[in-house]
Amino acid sequence: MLLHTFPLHDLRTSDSRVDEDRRHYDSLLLALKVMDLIVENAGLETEVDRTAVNRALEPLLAKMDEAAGLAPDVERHRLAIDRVLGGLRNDDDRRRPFSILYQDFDDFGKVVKRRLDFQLAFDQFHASGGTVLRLSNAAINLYLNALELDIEDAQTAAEAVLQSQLARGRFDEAVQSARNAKLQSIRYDEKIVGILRDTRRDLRRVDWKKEAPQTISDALDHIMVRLQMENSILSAAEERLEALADPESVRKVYQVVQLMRDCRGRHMDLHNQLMGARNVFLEEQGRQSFLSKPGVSTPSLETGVLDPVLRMGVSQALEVSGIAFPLWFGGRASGLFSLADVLIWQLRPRREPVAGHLAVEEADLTVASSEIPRFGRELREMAERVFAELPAPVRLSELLAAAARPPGLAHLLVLLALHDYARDQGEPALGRVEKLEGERLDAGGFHGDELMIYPDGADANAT
Amino acid sequence: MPLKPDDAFRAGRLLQWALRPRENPNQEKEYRQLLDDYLEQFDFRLLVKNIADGLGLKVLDADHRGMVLGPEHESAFAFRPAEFRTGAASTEDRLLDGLVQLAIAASVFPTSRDLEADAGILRPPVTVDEVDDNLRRLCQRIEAEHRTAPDPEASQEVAGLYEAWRIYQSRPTAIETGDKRQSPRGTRRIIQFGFDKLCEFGCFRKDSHGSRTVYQATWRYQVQVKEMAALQVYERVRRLLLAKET
Repeated sequence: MLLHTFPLHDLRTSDSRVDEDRRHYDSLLLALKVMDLIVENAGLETEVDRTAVNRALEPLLAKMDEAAGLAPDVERHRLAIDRVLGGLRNDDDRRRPFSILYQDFDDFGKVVKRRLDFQLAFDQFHASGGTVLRLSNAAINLYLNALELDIEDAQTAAEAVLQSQLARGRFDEAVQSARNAKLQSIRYDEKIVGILRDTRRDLRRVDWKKEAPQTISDALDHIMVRLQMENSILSAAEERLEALADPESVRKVYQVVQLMRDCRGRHMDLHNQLMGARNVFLEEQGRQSFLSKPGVSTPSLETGVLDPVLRMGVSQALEVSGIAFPLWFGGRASGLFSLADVLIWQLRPRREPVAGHLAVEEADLTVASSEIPRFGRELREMAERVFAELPAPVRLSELLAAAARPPGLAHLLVLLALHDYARDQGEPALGRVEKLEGERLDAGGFHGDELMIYPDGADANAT
Repeated sequence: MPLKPDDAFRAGRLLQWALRPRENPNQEKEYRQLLDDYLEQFDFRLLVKNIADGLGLKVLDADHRGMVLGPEHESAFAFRPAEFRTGAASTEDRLLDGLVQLAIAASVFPTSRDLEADAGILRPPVTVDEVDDNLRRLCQRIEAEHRTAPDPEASQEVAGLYEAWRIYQSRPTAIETGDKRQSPRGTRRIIQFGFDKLCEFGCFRKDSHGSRTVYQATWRYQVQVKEMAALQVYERVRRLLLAKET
């Protein structure tokens, strides 16, 4: 578990080695946020992709910029996010698992060197056609701060904790535990589905003598217990729901109910798969036992294939590439010649070119004075009045926070202030607007640099 | 579950979907339904695999991301080297196209450990320069080993014994045409053409990463290389090397 934190520490340590304008970003905090985001969205319709990461990290990066007295910059943010994701995926080593050497004592007390290989995060192809970010089991355990337990034990623990939290009225923690329980369900589901998929693909990839039957038998027992446990949590939670009056607590317990229903649904699906698992094995054994299998281990494409081919004579190298070509591109459907289609195409009447001029219908034109305004005349006059009646210089955020105004006025005030700030030379001004260095606007749904508005005639330097 | 009368038709429909690599089962209800049946019903799965076998195709993988088919040797569905470029290509050009495809696969999966990883996990994207650099690095290494050996005899070129690395090394990375454009004969343009062709087949996706153009291998390509291509090509190379030794 401790070793799994090494890549995160490395990421943090290397913060001081990046370009100076990016040193103020705390990559450990950002990495934890990414992990949080992935865990939060696990198993949902919309899983986390790069866009979701950008959306979640942008505000944090902007706040870190603000604390460092820097203006936010999209390109700098992109580089910072690339670095955090690269650190979690081990981009430096072509996204291979992290490999950490450590020392241990064997059964006889002798020091032995061991190597731990693990991944934290990886991009996975998604059924939607896009890609999503996933956490490895090691990273999930790290995130959940759990001990290295089997998935089954971890789930039992998570659900037991959840039940006790519900009983003690600790709803915030109960929601978190329910999320953890759901995550364990997803991992368990993936484990069983993986065994069945590998069996269908190649029976030899799965140990059906010992490991798989044991896993299936354990899984069936486990699911029966889990379903009972989930039913009992659901009844307890539903009972609490009836008794609770505080809307916030109701919302949280309802969340627990939803999450538990999701777990129960997953376990019921998994139960069906497990019931058919033995048949998958028997059927595939019958089918695959007659197929011929190549007897070589996985090759290295660079040293075992490309290097020897480069050393070959042209005719031999061409022979290899001739064999390989269709394999790189996969199966594709080649079109067949259809005489009927050709005849139909040939017998199609010729499209006569249109000679002379094309009759143009006279358009019914009307005179438009200008573009249709987004804001009505009344609203515009109101906004101009606000500017004209300013008693003293005022910050834009203060102006926006002032008493309730008709809808759209705040938007128009912001637009007019920005227009005044960057008005063309000679254009009439409503007042005078200046940017306040180091201050940020965050009011009424508007975010950006803070502006100071001076009434017409007021001296900017006087304040 | 026993087979139904229309299962053969449905198996044919599923193979037809699989032969259109750009189709996504998530957006095609029929494709998704047929895949579900393939995954859940053994008899239907067997029927699909048998029909595919008869067509010279191997079902390499199938899940909710789609079905990947690999063409067996001389299958009617195999893409032939002669179809790669329109017009006649010289022996040298065909060799370079073949080496580039090998080098692209080797850049995505350089080591056996990379090939053993789950095909569902994205490999890092690769660039044209990376593939060219890898090939030139290997050529330089082989050249260094041959430094003390005499230059090849002129007759070797005619007999097809002239080594492949010498041909790649002798071709410049970029060749400028009279009107200041890049000639398609430079290795970088050959690699770019190879990538673009793979993109057409749904094997790669062209992307931009900052100011760089990168090519991201798709799930389909990763499955093809991992489950079929790597091993078959390796087997052929091994057989040729053994034949040379004996």
